[in-house]
Amino acid sequence: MFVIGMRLNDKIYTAAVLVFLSLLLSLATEPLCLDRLFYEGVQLLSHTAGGVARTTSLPVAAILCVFLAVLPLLWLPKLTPIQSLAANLLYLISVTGILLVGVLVFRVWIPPLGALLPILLAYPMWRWRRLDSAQLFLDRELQNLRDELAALGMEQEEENAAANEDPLQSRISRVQLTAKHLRDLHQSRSDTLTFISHDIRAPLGAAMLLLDKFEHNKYTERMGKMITRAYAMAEGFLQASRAEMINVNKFQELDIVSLIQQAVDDVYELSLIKQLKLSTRLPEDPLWVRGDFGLLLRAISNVLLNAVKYSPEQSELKVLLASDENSVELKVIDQGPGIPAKKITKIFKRFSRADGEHQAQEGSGLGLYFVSVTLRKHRGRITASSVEGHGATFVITLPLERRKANSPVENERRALIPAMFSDSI
Amino acid sequence: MKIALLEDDLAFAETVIEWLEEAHFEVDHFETGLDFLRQFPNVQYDLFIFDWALPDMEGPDVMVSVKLRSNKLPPIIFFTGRSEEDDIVRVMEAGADDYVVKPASRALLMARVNALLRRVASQSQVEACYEYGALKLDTKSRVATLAGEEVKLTDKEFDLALYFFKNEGVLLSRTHLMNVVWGAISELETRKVDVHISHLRSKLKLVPENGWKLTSIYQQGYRLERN
Repeated sequence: MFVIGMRLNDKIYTAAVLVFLSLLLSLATEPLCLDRLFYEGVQLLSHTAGGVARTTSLPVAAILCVFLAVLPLLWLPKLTPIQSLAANLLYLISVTGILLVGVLVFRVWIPPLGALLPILLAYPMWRWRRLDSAQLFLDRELQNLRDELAALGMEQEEENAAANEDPLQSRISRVQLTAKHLRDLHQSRSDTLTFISHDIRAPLGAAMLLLDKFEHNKYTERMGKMITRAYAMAEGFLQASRAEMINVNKFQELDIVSLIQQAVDDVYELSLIKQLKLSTRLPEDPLWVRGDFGLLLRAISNVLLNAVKYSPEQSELKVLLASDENSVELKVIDQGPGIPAKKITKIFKRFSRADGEHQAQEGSGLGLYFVSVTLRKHRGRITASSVEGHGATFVITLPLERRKANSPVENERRALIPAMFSDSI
Repeated sequence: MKIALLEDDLAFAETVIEWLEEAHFEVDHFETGLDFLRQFPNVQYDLFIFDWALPDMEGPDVMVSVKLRSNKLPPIIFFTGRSEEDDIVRVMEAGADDYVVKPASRALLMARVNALLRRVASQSQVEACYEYGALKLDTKSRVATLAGEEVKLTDKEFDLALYFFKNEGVLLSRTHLMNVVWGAISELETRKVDVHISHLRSKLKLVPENGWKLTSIYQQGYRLERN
């Protein structure tokens, strides 16, 4: 909204200046000797063409000039700087041409200064306004950011040191400092993650091992559950933050079919315990996706584990993968209790839990949130649908990697087909 | 069999020593990297187990120092609280043979230890025929059979299968596989390994239903395990 308002203000401002300039030049044109010179030149021209040009009345000329002067504002906001410069020059030349045609053919002389000079000035005028408001906007945003950082306790630079330098220099140094603060924040965030990943999980892990040394009774069992849950929460928090901080530039090409197969393999034992019928339908050939292998594997495992967890014993769990030329779609269909309609929109949010289950059995409440963040970062998505009492369906879509033509691997894949027969890849 | 354990967390160390000793291994325990670096050349060890965070240095650095001081080393397992992909890739690139993320079950740690020791023992010999349940690999005729039926494998697929089965349970790094099976291929052909592994899995039916699990570890390494 602010930007649109700013753009409108810029237009009005520029238009006002141009109109004023144009009126001034066309109404006060008589006393200006420059115009006189033009006039005499034109008279000379028209005499040679046979006849004397008639000068238009002052108000008519002024209105025409104003109109011609503000016309560039129609295209200036839409074009790039170099384009608008070229357009304006072209416009200037054509206006001059039209005025000359007016004199030579129609014998009408319009004093041109009120149109030509504003047209010349229109471009610098407009660029200057734009720059000014862009700067104002950026200054404002920078100040907001700095205020937020200050509220977080990041120190500000000494004001007087900055005041000594010229405004541009101090602005640059403020941007640099703010950027540094942001980098520091990022760093401290990953430090916290490392801290959690090691320093909190390690003692919990040690406690889990030590607990094994005791004879099993109901107390050790309960303690074991508590420790496992605390560990799962630390892990869940860590995973969710990791997903939020994925570096998209580190994505690698991976075979999503193998990855899903691996996730299915991982839940095989659990499904065996519950005597589930695992119906997996995966394509034979690899399908390539660009992404982070570890995070995607964990995301898909989370969805499968979730489905196994809510599946009743001896029920069927379907894992289906289909693809078209642009994307893959994975469906995980269970026959569990399903998800109530009012809960279904919330399950992918942070710290959400499905109702009706004892707390100690729950995970961190971050599992599906992690999945949705991970998929979003991979330009994919996850949706859930369910009829209460009739199971739930989770659908994951991911865009396929599109290789450039001529890439060496594309050739290699083609080579694979005959090689199957010649047995000599 | 003698194992060196480098671990500063005494609670962990105590448990792990107990596990190993019950499996009839001799264990020397070190709490600091320097301590270990001073002692290890004097004893012939069959396996090293390293923690990541030590009071005086980091596990990967200890490993690098060890590799500088000796050219004939036993396999190295990292036993670490770190599970980040970057960390695991780093220790694998530095030359670790495997890693186990804490807190691991006794069964998992012992499986990794045994797989590595078995690999060292069996490295030199090539047998005429390998049998793994319903699967049979004949190294002379280079024919693979699954439940008596021949499975068509390409040359490279057969090599890869043989290598995986000979190193059952061992983490095989991607670079290592590329070198062994293809004799070094360019990084551009990264799909190649994945394509072959995917074919191997579907042709030989290496799925848990048949008692197998073929896992990719962040695409940096692969492991074939018996379920």
